[in-house]
Amino acid sequence: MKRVQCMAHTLLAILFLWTSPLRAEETTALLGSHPYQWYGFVTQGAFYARNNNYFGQSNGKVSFDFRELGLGGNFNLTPRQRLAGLLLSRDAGETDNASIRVDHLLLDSQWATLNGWQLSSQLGRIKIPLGLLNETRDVAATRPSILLPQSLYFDNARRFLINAEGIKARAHLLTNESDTSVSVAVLVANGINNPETESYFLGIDHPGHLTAKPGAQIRLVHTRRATGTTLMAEYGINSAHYLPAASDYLSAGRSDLSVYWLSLRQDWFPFEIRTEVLRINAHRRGFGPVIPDSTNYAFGWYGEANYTWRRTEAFLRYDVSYVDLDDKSGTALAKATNRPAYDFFARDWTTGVRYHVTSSVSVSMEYHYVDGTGWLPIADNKDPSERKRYWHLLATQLAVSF
Amino acid sequence: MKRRIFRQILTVTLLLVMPVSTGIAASNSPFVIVVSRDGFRDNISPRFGEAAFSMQTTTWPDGHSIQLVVLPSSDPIQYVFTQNVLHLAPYQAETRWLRFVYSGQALKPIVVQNFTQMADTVARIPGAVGYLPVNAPLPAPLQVLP
Repeated sequence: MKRVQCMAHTLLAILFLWTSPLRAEETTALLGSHPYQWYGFVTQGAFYARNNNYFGQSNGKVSFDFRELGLGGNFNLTPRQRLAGLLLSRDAGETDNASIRVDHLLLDSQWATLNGWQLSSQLGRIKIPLGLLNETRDVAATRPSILLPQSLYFDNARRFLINAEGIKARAHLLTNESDTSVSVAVLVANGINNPETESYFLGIDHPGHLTAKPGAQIRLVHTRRATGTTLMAEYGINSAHYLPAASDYLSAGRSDLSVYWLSLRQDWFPFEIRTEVLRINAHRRGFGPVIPDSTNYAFGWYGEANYTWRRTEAFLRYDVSYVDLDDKSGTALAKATNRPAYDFFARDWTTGVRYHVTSSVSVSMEYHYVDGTGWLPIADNKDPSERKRYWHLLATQLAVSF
Repeated sequence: MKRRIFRQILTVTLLLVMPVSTGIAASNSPFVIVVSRDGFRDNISPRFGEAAFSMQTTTWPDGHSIQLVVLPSSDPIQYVFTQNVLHLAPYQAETRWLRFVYSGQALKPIVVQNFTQMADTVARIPGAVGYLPVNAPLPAPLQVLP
């Protein structure tokens, strides 16, 4: 299996290198009167950490174990219907293995205009619309930094948060003063039956497996033209059911999540200010005495200022997250789980810079100073006794796109 | 402590939503937004061109996909255009476009090297929209958006 993945990865890389000298104009063409186009990117990171590992063995040494490769395309089936997809490969230390997967493959349809509202839908494997950045979190050119603020866009449950099968309906109103959209989605998460998602829901990887039930999401986005302000509010519900293995110490329980997300973006050229808040109410029921029924309130918040000058972008960010808002120091959770208290929170100061060498090549560098290991990748730091509360990370990344 | 966090968030939010002008009015722009003479400009609002270039809208009122045609982000003319029309730096604008493209919500903008290519490409591709200097002669197949 690993060999097949490796061959497929190489094939994707060759395809990328073959197409990368093309200009955007040449990657868009007409089939009849319908445009189609393809595009892609490749990135390579170098990480150096102190006290803990991040994406490979980076504690005290440089790890090159972070690379991303994507190849996508758009095809207009009819003037109102478009097929869009992206193949993605991501290698990230012990947390991701470079296997090629379908990031999204969807049918985008434009329906009618009703009292000025344009109605549209997306059907298939779609990106989960969470916050301002989740839909393209694996595309370096769309991220404001190498690592997204982990309080909200945590990588510990990324497979669960990336994409899902289902349908999203959207209504959009454009006026002279503002831009408003309302969308509703019904989705079944596909990245749920894996050790990292199970650890997120249930603390560790247990013998049985999780299955996802259909979830629902509603989202409102409003942009005011005069002030350059974008406000987004979102509410979602999700449920995962546990199917015990033949001999299992857990019963068939369920975990229900209610997600509240608020985002605000303010453009003050040449500055962009962004802040987002997330609260997840997580209820666990019916797992038996090993995992007693419980409810906890995960919380994350960050504020970020970006400055752009010609080809250079710089940012400063503060990012904080708690596994349980009622136990910010992690003391009670530490007692219940026999893990260190700093496993249940993280406060991260980050500053970084990006330089666009050309339109398609950029170099980024950022520094993190973190108190807590709340979102530290467990897979890269398996021994809890070796995890340190205070740690540093210097990350650099080269990104090429076409 | 919980109250303190929410008070801090509320303060930041209020500071951010205070009305502030974002820059030069689009009407003073040294550019005009152009489309092909194929009927896509019917029933559109005066700020449709700006909304198209910010990808706040990705389709024409009749449902056709919008195809943006732009100069490279490294081109000084593109800098003047995005600053005037979108109040963003070119790379900021490009980042936001790619968020729509890589989530399957929009076509990727076509990058051309000069205004001659811009006019040719807009004329050739259905649903394409580009821009030209306000005083430049307008090639026959193109129309200016209101």
